[in-house]
Amino acid sequence: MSRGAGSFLGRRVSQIAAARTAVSFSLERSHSLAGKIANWLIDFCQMTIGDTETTSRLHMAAHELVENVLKYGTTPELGLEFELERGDHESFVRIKTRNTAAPEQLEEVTRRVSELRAAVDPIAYYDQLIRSTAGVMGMSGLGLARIRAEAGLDVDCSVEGQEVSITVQATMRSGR
Amino acid sequence: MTVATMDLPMVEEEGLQLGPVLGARDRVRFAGTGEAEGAAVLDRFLGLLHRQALSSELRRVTIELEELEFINSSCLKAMVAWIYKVDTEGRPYKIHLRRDASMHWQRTSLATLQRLAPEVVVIEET
Repeated sequence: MSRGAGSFLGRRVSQIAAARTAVSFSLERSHSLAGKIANWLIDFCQMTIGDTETTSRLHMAAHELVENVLKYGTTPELGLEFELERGDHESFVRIKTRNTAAPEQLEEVTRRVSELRAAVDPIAYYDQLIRSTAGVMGMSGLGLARIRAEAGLDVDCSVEGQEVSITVQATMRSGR
Repeated sequence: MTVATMDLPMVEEEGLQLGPVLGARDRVRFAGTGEAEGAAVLDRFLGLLHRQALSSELRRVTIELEELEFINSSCLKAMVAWIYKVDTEGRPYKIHLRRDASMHWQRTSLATLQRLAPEVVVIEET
């Protein structure tokens, strides 16, 4: 699945002459800590990208990703990477999380991301997912589909051993 | 003349503030931010709201969302479950969601809720 992300990456580098920022965190699996880092990233995007809608979309993506790793991670650590290439009119943004998970969760997230990527219409897929789980109690399972359908970011995942990496990325409008 | 307020508690937990609008018998207000821990709080409140709406035979319930800064998918799921229940159990009342369209997430997420139950959900602009 990561091959698609690679070709996307190659394309955007040639399109954007950009100032690049990349940060990587390995941190304790703590709700407040991960939430604060997500908020810090969004504040940083607001300052550098300067576009409220782009920032809002990234806020949604960052918080859904953080919730995912906190829910499904099985070890006390998690990884969070952030990359921004800022151009005058467009910026490329990528957020990646890493965590270990139980085998059934690895299988489930791989299946969900495959379905999501295969969907011709991400919004129709999201609506269908909502309808099919509306009467089911418990986990929402909507986070990644929401990132794709509502925030408009590309979603991908890769699994290595017990570790899953989820990457969301998009070329988005810059306000300055 | 005194107008009855909905008989619901003011809830302030896990970053969310949920409660009735004083002087309005069919209106509540949500504010704050709803993360994962807020989903159970929201779910409980919506359960109380649903029972109150049924017992008062309301034809409409309005939720003021303009001060709700963000909710994640767990909280959105709580709203989905409530709307689905209203939609599939005879549509006893309509749900009016009053949004601030300047917030991107409110535009997209509330439109999602309306697509789930277009006969039940009405979006209102501030």
